Amino acid sequence: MVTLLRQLIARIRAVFRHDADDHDFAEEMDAHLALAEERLVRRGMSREQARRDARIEFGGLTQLQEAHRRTRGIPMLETLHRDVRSALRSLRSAPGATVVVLVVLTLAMGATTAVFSVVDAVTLQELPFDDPDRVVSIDRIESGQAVTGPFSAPDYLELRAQQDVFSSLASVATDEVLLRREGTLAPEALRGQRVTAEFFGVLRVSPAVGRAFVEEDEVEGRSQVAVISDGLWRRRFGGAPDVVGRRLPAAGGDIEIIGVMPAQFSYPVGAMAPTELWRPYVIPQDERVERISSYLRLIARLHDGISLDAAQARLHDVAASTNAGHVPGGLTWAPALVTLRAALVGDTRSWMLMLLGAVTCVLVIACVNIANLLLVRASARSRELAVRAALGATRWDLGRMLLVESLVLSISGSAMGLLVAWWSMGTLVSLLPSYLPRLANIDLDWGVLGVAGASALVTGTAFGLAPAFQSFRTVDSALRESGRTETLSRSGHRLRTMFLVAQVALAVVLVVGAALFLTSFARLMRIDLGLDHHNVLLVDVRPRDGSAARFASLLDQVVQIPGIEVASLATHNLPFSFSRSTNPRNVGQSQVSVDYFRALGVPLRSGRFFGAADGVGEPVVILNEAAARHYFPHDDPIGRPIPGGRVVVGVVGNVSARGPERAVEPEEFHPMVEGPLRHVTLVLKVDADASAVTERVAGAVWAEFPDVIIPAPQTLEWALEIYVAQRRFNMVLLSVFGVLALAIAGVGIYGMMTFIVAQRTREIGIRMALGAVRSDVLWSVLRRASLQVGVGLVAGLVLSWLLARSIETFLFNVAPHDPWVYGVVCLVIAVTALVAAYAPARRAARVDPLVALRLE
Amino acid sequence: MAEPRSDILQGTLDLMVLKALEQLGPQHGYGLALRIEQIGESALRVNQGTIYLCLLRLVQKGWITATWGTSENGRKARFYTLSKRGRKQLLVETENWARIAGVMRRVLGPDWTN
Repeated sequence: MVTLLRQLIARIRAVFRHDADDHDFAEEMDAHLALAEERLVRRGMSREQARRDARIEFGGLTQLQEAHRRTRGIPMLETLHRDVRSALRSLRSAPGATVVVLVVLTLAMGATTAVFSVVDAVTLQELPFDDPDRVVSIDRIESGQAVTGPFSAPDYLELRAQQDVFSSLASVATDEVLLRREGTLAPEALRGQRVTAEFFGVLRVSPAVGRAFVEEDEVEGRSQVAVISDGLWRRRFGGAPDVVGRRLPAAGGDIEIIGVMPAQFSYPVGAMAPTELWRPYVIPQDERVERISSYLRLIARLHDGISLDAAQARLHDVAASTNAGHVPGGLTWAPALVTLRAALVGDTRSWMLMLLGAVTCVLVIACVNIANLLLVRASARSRELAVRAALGATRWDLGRMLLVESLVLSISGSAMGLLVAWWSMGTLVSLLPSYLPRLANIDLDWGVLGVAGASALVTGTAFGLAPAFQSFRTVDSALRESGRTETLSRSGHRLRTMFLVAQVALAVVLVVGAALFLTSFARLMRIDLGLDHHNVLLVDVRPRDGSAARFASLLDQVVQIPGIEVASLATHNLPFSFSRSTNPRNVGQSQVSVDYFRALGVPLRSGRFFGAADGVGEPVVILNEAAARHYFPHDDPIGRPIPGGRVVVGVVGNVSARGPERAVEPEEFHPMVEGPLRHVTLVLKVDADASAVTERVAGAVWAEFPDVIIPAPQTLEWALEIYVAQRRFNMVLLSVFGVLALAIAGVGIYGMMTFIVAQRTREIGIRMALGAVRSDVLWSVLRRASLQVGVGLVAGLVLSWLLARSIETFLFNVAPHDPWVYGVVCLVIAVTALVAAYAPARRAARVDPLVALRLE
Repeated sequence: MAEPRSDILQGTLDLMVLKALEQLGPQHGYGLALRIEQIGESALRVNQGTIYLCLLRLVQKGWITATWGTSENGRKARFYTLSKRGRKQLLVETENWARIAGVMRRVLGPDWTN
């Protein structure tokens, strides 16, 4: 075994030492012959005779050399090595074409790899649980409503008691644990979940250290335990092995750590901001019977042999009987079962498919383009191939040679593409909206590398096959022809024309897509949000003992900080936040400080802003325009009371608080009043760099409230980003793809026309000798180019027209068949084609008839 | 293309080269060829060049090592030396041959030795 291995290693090494070994061997033979000759001479033979005899004794030198080479290395590997070297030589001999192919391939493969890694992480990757396809998520649909929502405690309990389709059923509620200041560790807020003990059984994951909690922990007073994430374990405890039994200084009393989850576990899977600890969920007594609020998400594992549909039907019956048991005519609801994977991937699936489609388009254009370039090269090389064939190369040898050439190209292009993907990955991820599931999983992992490698082989073969096949056909005829006018078979020409048309058509599709997304985004950005969202810093402050007076003194401190222009605060309904607090008439309601509207740049429409005295005395209110119209459809609201008695003192402009795509909601603003304030957001207009002042703001907050947790400050721009990120991403990506496709198609047109002109040099010479004018020649080339591009353009427009419907959901304020967009795309393609074809056409017009004819 | 000699002969040649190296110490290809001609008489006569294929195989298997040196007539030549593993292999092969020879003697009968 060892000997075999040694032999193999020696042979593999020999493949790469081919020349050196040959040289050594020749030298050894020389030495041998010299020694033999010497010996024979010493025996009295003439020198000439001795040399002859020595050679005869030795045997056939060439055969031996052949046998030596065969024994030395690995013949197949040797052939491959030779093919690769010859491919490299041949690629080097045409540096222009090689560079073009490599650049095209690098960009296309880079784009493909990067996009695929996103799609893979978001939609394709397996969930990190045992048998994940049996895990389902259960939502409830209130009758008569389309949206799904979480469960209330009584419904959950009833469902758990009566169901018989799940082996385990767990409820999950979001939780937050505030940690007190401890030693040097600043107070912080941990993202947590309250889960029932079955949680670990449903997912079939157990802690890596310690234990999970059990039903016995789900009792009031015994529930101060937690299982923490691997991340928290390493961050706060440095991965200490004796973490079990240690305590977290939570604001509501210490929490004992009983276990640590494995590193690869995350729930929700792959969230950018993962959960850091899980605590037992104890249902409060008052919630056990009354449907006070709905906040429980249910997950469950299906019993063996029960299908999703069967479980859904069974749960429907359970829900029906539960509904019947409650107030007649009260809320009725139905359960909605989906696999956890579907719940996770959800709506993003069609988006990811669209991205994948777009990038596939780019890759196909690149392949077709390269195939065309190689076809042209192969026909220019038909003489070389014919000579090789005449010298004994078989068709297989020639085909293999061309295939290896394209594989060398595709593999090196993919390798560089991987680098491009690796570099662009960070930008790509930062452009994606942060709510995208499994964003944290996006990586160049083995799966992605495998796909990249496979597509390198497939593309290499795809664009290498056409030239290889064509070589079979041309070899026979090439030597017979004069050699100067390497006319190609008509079929070869038709193939190249088809490839060019395909390139143009696909480029049109991508450019139309890019134009639609660009228009969408431009229109989105042009929408007036009603405020100035630049340079606004939001800092959440949640003290246990806050009051309007203390916050007022905090504001006084903060406004002193250099760099802060306006300091204000608000209790609820901040622009672009997800939570919303309303009064019973569904009008948004919040308390704001005097300078709130100035900080946000919200204009006053009539009346006045709040003054310092508005908190006391007669209760007043400021409305936004939507609320003003809501309360007073026909009258001027200033000075009039709204239901509840507050008097309107001012009306401010509408703010698109739910992002530019949602309608403005009515809002009323109250002045800050005395009383406990638990949750307030500082809204600060800063003059330039927000990050410069954050530390001083934190210092001021801690001076007033020493124990308060200060989460990382947000800027309003960031908050807005979530609402526009998907469209921005689509626009950026598709624009890059569109430009790429245009460039590739342009190169294709240029290459094709250059080739045609080179082929027709003699014909053009004759025409000119017979009296053709230069402009005739110029136009004849351009006409030819425009004919082919025209066909591609029409095909592309038809294709785009058909495909545009499928991206309609991703568009904003632009019709999928917007005539302006299609018109502009036509223009762009036409200009690109003209630019690409002009240089070859001019070269044709400059042909000197004498030179052209002398070539014969 | 078929190998120049049968497998049995190849194995024989390998063993002969190993044995010769054990007896003579470091030696170049020509010296080994002469030695084998000398012992093998005309019965095992092969082209001298063939020995180089055999030497290549033995080097690949790690049983002998090759170094460049100077021959007796002052020329650069490649010298082959038996390695430790080669020495072990020689023992194994010798034993094998003894056994095969014994078996063959029994198969072919008492009058075979002539």
